[in-house]
Amino acid sequence: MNKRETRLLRSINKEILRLEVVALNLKNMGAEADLPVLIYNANRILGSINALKLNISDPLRIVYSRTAVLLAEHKSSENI
Amino acid sequence: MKDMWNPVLEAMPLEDLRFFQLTKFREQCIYAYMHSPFYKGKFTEAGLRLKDLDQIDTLVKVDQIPVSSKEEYINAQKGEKNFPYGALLAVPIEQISAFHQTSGTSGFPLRWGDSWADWEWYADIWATILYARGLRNHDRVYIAFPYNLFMAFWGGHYGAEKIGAEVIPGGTTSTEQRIRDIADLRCTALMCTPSYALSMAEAARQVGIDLRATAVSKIFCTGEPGASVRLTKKRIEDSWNAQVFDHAGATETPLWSFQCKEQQGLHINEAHYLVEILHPETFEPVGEGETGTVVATNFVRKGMPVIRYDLKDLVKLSADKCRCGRTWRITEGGIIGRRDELTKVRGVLFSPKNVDKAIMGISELNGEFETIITREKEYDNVLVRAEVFKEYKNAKEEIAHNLARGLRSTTTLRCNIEIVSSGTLPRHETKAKRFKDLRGHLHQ
Repeated sequence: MNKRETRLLRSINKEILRLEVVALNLKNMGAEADLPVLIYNANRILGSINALKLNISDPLRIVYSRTAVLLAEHKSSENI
Repeated sequence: MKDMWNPVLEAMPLEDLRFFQLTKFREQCIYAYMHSPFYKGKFTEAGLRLKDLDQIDTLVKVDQIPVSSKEEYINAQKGEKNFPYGALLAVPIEQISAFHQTSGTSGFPLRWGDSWADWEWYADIWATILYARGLRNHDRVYIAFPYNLFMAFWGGHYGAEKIGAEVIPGGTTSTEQRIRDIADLRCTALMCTPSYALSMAEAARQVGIDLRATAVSKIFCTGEPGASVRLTKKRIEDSWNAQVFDHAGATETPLWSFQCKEQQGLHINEAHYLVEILHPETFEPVGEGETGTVVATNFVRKGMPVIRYDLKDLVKLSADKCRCGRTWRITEGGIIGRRDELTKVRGVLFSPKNVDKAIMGISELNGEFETIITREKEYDNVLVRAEVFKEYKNAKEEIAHNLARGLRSTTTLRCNIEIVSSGTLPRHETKAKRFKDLRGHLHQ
């Protein structure tokens, strides 16, 4: 994946995580306001968000963090 | 990336993919230890602590995790606690929103609960494979499935919906009505078992409907190995003038492998599973070109995690890379057998799939058959009962002779043959039960 694609994916990921926060807030507010319609629809949305996290956020988190570790290792070996 | 639902995962460079899988494997093991009473007990019994699980960072270390079996899962569901899921349940029971179960041929069915998030994932992996085969939002797909306790095509329904395709639920409609609906509604795709695709072809001939003239161009099969058996696949494709696709899965591990448009083999679904192919006796990893048994770990499901699960399916890993561009490994010829179906008959290793091959080699047979093994006076008898097309009902003797010769070639055994009229044997809309070993406790 090139830099541009990685940057784009990180932006997408940011939006997914924002969406998750919003859906969780809605679900909690639904519980507070005793609105089953909100709780259960928000729950469904969270299911879809989970599918997006599995497809986008997880690969980014895992593979990106690995790239970061490899870069750090490379830098430290250069320092030696 | 053409025909990829998610190129981020499907075209991930191999080195990254292996790291991704190991990380997900480790995370799921930790999750299971913390939430699943079954896995907490199993890991503890194997002397594994949380910090040991956290140190799984190579494929070799995966081997430290004990393999689990269906028998263990069924035993873990006995008792009242968390009924009916027992010690396998890893979320509060109120989070479970979908119930399914296995057929219970081994005595007890395995009950399966999925949370809403698990169910959404299930639809998503179905969308992945359907998209890989070219299903799009302009397609109209007919699902010839009774929508019952078996998981089978439930995911196909929701996966196709997710893509935006129009879904026609076959439900409990009769075979004839289904054929008429498929033709009248100009369906472009079909989901069913391979044996049911052939049953429909036979029923269509009887009522004078030419399936080759319908708009169906893609048939998605599962439940039985037929769609990867060359002659069965060809017979379905010829009957429908459509491309047939195979995939493999189980209630515990849905869609762990699938065929893409290129049809070079069955891709292993590497983004959601760690699939190990191991020697059937030693459980050591086997190489490309060797036959091994499948042990699979699912990374995603939280309701009932599945870790190093012995599927008992036998596959052969291919050294080839698929033309589709996916980095996911491929297996040759789909599921080539099952460890628990391999049995010795008169001292010879016997696989029911070899009967299938012989049957499909005889064009006068309609594809419906059953195999029954009995033992009399210490001698194993194999009876193959097969249905003949109506127009060949007067040639039963000659067909029996040809089938006996075919079976001798595929199984190396002399079998007893009974050619019966079309419609004699039971029809199956889900997994066909064609193999019966009645040797009881004598069965070795």
